[in-house]
Amino acid sequence: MPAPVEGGADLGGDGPAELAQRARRGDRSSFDALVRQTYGEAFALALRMTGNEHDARDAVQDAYLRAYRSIPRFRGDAAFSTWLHRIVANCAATQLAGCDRRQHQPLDTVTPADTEPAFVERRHDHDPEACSAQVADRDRLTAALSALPDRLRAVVVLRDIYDLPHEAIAAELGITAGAAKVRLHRARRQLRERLFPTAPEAHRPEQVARAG
Amino acid sequence: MLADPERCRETIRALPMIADPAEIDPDDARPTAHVRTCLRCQAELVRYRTVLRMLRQLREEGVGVPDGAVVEVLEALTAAYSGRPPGRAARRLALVGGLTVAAVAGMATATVAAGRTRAARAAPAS
Repeated sequence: MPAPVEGGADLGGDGPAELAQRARRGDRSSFDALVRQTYGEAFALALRMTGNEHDARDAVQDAYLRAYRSIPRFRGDAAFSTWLHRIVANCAATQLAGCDRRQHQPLDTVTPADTEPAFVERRHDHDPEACSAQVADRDRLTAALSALPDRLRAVVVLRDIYDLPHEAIAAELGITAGAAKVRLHRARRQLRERLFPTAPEAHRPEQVARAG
Repeated sequence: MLADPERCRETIRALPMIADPAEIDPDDARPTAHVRTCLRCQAELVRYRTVLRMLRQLREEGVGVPDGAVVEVLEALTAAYSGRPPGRAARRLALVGGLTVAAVAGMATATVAAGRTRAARAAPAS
């Protein structure tokens, strides 16, 4: 859970579960504290889904207003963050639906960074060179995500980063579970093509390893 | 032993999903069986799994929160607590109100202008 951020003091270090219970009973200061505790995560989700800060801020604000109105119905069966993520995802999807005006960068628009070597397996966490390479990999992944069409990015973010099931993704985006799977397939394929810009080499007969 | 190109193509098409163990169709073992015997498809599988691993790592990484963003939400909530529209809604309301006033003013001006034109045309005839 991210550290409390700007906007005021935390309520004695209470966790989201306690704060949510008090907020359910109408304690507004507890709800404000929940906002401070969870904003960073909510904003990260919205930013990854929408791909831009302005829409992400709007989506998160809408999400907290909806969460405030809905918190009396929050039973605590799931973690507050899980419940909030569903609301943020829904608000971000609504934001995306109203933002078809936005252009995304086509996949064939290659920036200099795209021509750099793709991911390499690196496990030396204390190696500064490996750390900086990991940052570069993350930046390339973030750029590749941003370049995806909105409808594909939303699905891959919810499934592969936030681990939502297909049915939940479909519900939040207003599509069928089948359509969510199709979009996920396309999104993963486009990410792979962008991050490893080489054609699959499986079309030529080649010597292969023996089974087993 | 030579790879079956058609089987490779089928497998490559399926890899975006079967690279994720949670997505493997238990009723169709052909792609995974093929991958076990095909080095090129194994290499492609590794690429997909690397993408998935990096995506999952993103979850643990925060993003910078813009200055003033939390305060903006808290102010919107304060407005909601007191039954007022939140800041952004209020701004939109002001915009819609302004456009409405401008439209009404424009219609009024057009009506007056049309009336004067009619009066001017009628005057020489009489």
